[in-house]
Amino acid sequence: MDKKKLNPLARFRGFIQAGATLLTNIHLPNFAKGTLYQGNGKYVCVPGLNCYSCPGAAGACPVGAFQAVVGSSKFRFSYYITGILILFGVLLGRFICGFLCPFGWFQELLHKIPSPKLSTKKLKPLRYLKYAVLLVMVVLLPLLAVNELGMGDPFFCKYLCPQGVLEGALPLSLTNAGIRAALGKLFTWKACILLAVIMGSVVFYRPFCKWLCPLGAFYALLNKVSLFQMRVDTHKCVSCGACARACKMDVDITKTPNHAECIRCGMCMKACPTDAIQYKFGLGDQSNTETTKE
Amino acid sequence: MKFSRVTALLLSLTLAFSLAACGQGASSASSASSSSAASSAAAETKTEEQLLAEENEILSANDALWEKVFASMDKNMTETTLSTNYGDFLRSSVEKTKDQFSDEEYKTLTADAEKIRAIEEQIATLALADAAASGAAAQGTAFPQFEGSDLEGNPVDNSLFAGNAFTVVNFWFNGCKPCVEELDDLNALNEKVKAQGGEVVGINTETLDGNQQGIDAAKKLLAATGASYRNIYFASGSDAGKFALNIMAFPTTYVFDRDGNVVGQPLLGGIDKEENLAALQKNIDAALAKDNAK
Amino acid sequence: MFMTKKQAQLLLLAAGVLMLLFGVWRGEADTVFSKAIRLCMECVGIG
Repeated sequence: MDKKKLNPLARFRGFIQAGATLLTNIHLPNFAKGTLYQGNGKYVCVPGLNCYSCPGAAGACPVGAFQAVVGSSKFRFSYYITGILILFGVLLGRFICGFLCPFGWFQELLHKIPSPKLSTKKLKPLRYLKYAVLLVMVVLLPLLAVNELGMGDPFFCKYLCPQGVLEGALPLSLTNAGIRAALGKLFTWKACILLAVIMGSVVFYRPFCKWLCPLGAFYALLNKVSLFQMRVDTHKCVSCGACARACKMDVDITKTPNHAECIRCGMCMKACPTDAIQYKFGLGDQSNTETTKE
Repeated sequence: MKFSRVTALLLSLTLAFSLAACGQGASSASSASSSSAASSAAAETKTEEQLLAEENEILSANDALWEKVFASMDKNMTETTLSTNYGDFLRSSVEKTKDQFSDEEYKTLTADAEKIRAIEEQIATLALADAAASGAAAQGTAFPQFEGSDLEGNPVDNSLFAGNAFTVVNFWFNGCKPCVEELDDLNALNEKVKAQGGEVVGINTETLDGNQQGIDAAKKLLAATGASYRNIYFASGSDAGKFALNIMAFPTTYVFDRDGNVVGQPLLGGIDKEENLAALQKNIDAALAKDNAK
Repeated sequence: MFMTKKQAQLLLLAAGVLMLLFGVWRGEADTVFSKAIRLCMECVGIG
């Protein structure tokens, strides 16, 4: 294999993920102090799924922030967060999932634990669940299930998000007795979800990203039009199918180079014997397949 | 076959993990509390032991004389009241057996009894201080000195605490749904504890420095929930302001005694939940007991 | 298609910027900030 030609992004993906996770949670001393960062960084949201109640968090969680605005009595929709997410999505698409998301990295690390690995090819219909999570738990319920003062709950954060337990409840309860005392049924429920995701991540590749993540769902919608895209050189391609077999997100890149599920991880590039697959960044359609007109 | 084996493994792991998680959580919490109790108890007994040793020394110095006193004391033993100072008790015993001793001996005995009385007093204050310390030490100290005003503009300062047997202080902010949802319960609590000489006071962190927008929003919420108890604010740069801004989880409810000292562990979470109200009631009862003991 | 991919991208980028600015203008960023600097009990699954 010609390793030299492999795009450095794909080659050093693990390091990029680690770096992104560290930058997203840069306020490390707060873990020991059991406090939250309260600076101006929290006005903006980070691209990946990262709880803003994590002691180290440098910014707000996009999903949490969206629900906070929609659920507040002042607003019914968040143009601010939607705008930011559209920009992220159009510029990078699910590259964010593959490279920048701390929870995506967490699941990948778990997947490295030796165990029988199961294919998710037959579970493709579950992919659509995440769109339902996005629509129902992130948008509709915080908007519609409100009290008499117009305040809604962040349903996704409250009932589903495992990242909140992993980054928020667990580290804070370790250092704060008051929080330990407050852990109740809700915590038990969400700890179970976290455990299920952890277990699932060992045998499946990124189960939360594939089936449940509302942020992944939003970026998936924009993946087809993102500036960061995949190009398959049809002249070089020998149609061996190695890329499709290597893809852990169950995408056949030769057929759909910018599929909604493609997280641009580059495993297909590594597998390709002829270097027919490349990253491209720019306006317009950069994919060099037969369907250039689309 | 293979799949069922994997699911079995998964299930068992999940169970093991959840058990471990629960066990660990419980044990770490209990070990933390027991170790702190043990350490404070050790500190207390050590000094108390020293004082008791001093008492014994005093008694053994005039061994022969005290033997006589003790010998005649047996009959009175039954009416010994444990609550009285041991020194006083010795003194009265000496008085009763006065005729058995010479003037010189009588003087020595009363002097000894006086010394023991002083030591007993020391031990008593030690125990009191320890009880107070274990209460306040849980969350630092007293409410800082402050000068502020209520939302109507009437001045308020630390004398607030002295006027009440106990003061329940609830920290909240306008965008916090669980905070807003317990406002009516706090109002009910305020009406209830008035008879006991208690008061509920709210501190909305968005009203600090007299922030007009925050005050208007807070007033609206208080009016909408029918809450009429006092809400106060002060300068965010003051010690009290720092105390308020250091609070990270909302809602948090403290109980302060007449001296403005924290009683018990502050409560995290709304008292619209039964278990939280029970936890708060415990702190209130402790504060009341402390106030009555004075 | 009624629109080329390039047009769609430009349109979305413009929409994203406009929505962001509109959101900031009407004060959404303050709401985000006030939630993000505090631990709201329900947000992380406590209680």
